[in-house]
Amino acid sequence: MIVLKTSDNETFTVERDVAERSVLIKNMLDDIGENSEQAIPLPNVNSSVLKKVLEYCEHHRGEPLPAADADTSQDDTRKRTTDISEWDQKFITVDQEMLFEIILAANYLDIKSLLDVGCKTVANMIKGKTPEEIRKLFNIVNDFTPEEEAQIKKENEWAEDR
Amino acid sequence: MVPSLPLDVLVHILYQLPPSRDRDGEIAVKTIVQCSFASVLFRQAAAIPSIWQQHYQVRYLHANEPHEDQRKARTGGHWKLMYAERRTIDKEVLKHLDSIVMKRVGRYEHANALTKYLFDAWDVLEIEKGMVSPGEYMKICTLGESHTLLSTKAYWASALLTSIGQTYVVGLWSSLRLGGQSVSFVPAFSSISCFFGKHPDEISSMLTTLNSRCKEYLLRLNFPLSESDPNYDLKKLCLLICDFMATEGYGPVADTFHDVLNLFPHSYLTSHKRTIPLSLVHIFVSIAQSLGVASSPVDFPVRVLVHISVPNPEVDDFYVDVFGSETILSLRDIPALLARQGIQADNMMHYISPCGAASMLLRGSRNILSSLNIPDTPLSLLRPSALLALTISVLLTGVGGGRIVYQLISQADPLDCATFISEALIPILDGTGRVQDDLRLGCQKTLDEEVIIAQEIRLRSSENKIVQHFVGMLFEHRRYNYTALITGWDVSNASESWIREMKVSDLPRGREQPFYHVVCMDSSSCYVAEDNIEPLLTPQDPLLKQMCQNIDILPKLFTGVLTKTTLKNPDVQNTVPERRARFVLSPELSETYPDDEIMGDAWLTG
Repeated sequence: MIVLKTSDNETFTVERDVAERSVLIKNMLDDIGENSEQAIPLPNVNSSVLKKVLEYCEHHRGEPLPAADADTSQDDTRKRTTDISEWDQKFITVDQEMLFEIILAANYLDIKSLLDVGCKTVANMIKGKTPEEIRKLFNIVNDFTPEEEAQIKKENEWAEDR
Repeated sequence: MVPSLPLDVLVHILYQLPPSRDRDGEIAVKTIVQCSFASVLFRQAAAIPSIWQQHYQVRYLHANEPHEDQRKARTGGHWKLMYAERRTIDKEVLKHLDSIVMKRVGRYEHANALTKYLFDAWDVLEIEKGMVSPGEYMKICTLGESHTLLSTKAYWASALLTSIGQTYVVGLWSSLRLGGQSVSFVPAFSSISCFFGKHPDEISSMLTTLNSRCKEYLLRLNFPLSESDPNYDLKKLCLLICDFMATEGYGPVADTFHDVLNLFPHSYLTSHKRTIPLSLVHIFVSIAQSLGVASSPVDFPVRVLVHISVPNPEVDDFYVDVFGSETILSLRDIPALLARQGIQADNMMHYISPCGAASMLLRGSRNILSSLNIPDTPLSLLRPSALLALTISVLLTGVGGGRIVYQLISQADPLDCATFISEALIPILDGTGRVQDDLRLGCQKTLDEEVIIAQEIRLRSSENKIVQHFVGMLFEHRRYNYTALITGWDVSNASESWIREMKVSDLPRGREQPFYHVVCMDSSSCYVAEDNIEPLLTPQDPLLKQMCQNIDILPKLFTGVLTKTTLKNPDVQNTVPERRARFVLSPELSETYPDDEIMGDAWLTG
């Protein structure tokens, strides 16, 4: 069993193969050795997010992990076009704040399949949206200077409708 | 509060917008572009070259190679910039395509300009063509619904793909003129399929697959493939290639020797694997050369053989008869074979020397022309096949004289004249004097006539009021009982000889009546007097569908079918509803017959 400690100082005790869905944790465990009783600190993840992430890891335990440094080449493109599985779809149906938190946690913990599911969900949300709608969705502001804006317009003229 | 996402996550999100050649791919690209406008960080993410690389490589499978090299140099290989350049070309191509679809006036100037993009225009045209699946070219709708122009667009996209292929291949073959050998037999022969809208890569990749399958086959048999191996046996190797071809289904054709499809690589590599010697030799030489065997076709009387050049100077070269039962022939066997054809052995060398692509293309061309005399050839194949054969003949003999040029012009439509004939064929014939002049004049005449026809407008006022039927109406011929579709009409255009031949004077109204241009179920066109037209009131779906499938020029003329169901006698019990149907005019026909659409709608309602 492995003990994980979140940013809000909660601890989670999980089985090793569940925790090792995270490449970050797997590498840490490889470094500190088999029999450490020490809790692994995860300062970037809070307890509500980790709970959700561990639910995902639990469900997918035992599945083969993607090879380290998997090439983002041809067959990756194929995989990307496939849909999200039913369970994952249900799992990722959360409010937007949680969705982004899960993505950040998956990115930090290095859980590629979860990152993909999260990013695919966001990609579907931004499909066909205007820049203003995208800004709203991501809670960001337009930080371009007028010159930059003109420049971008010029760069993307080819994409305008006929 | 929504947390903000770092650059690498944004990039990952954009990666999840998958590339494709359909509508989704289009939306994906649009979305990535919209992201560039959102913020500085987003703009950075949306400019990552690898994102654009995948979109480029999925959308653009073909290119005009010299232009592609220039593009790479100009953009420093930056995928987004390359993508932008290609999309700009696509837009130009689509603008031309739209004009071609919408207006007959000026159409062929646009076709000429479009074809000049060559393979840079290929992908976008292929995408437009793919917007409708081949099985359902025309939709059947009920009155009130409207048709898109997708089928008509797909028709023209497909025609223009062929024009581009033809322009390319005439250029390729031109280097074979006057004994040139710079293009070898296999690629020159594969390119025949360009006349049928196939990209040359399509055929060469089929051959490459076959080559590597044969190699696997030989490796499974532990057959030594290296010349330096003491057990290497060239004759055995050639026999095994023939065996391999047989296991793949390639072999001599039995009774359909004259089927013209036996001569086109895209068909004899797929549906017509039992084919003629020339085609089998094409496949054999492709495989043999890929295995390092020096092989070339031999223009032997009766059937084409393969000459195998043996590297060891002490061993004689030999011949392979891919079609025959006795596969390996030596020089000694030849005189007897020739004698059977009544050819003296002292002329022998003339018939058995290895030959290049030009003689094989000419042989293919002669075969095509003789196949076309066979009555079973489908009409849709007649014109492109004849055009192919005559083009080869004019191009490679260059001395064809007036007759071949005349035949070529009679087979060429305005699109052919405006594209590959004027852009590729005529310029290559420099120095042929009359051949070039005749071709140029013939081409010009066809295009000039087209300009006049394109401007014609037939209104239903004044003398045309007597025309009872409309373009898009189905009918049965009163005398000959065939079913056909009206594609045009006029009031007095029939020639004297036609009037006599068709006994028009015997009809109730004689020669003083409207006449109709019609297209029949087998794609042929006819000219019919109004007295012979019996409107088809309730055409059934199977008939409509069969028409849409059989008549390949239908989407050029019409965009779909409209139907309207009415109860004829609502008061009578068990009355059968009547469903009328008509074809909807394409922009080109609506322009010539501006009143026929309204008349058609009125007819539908009964």
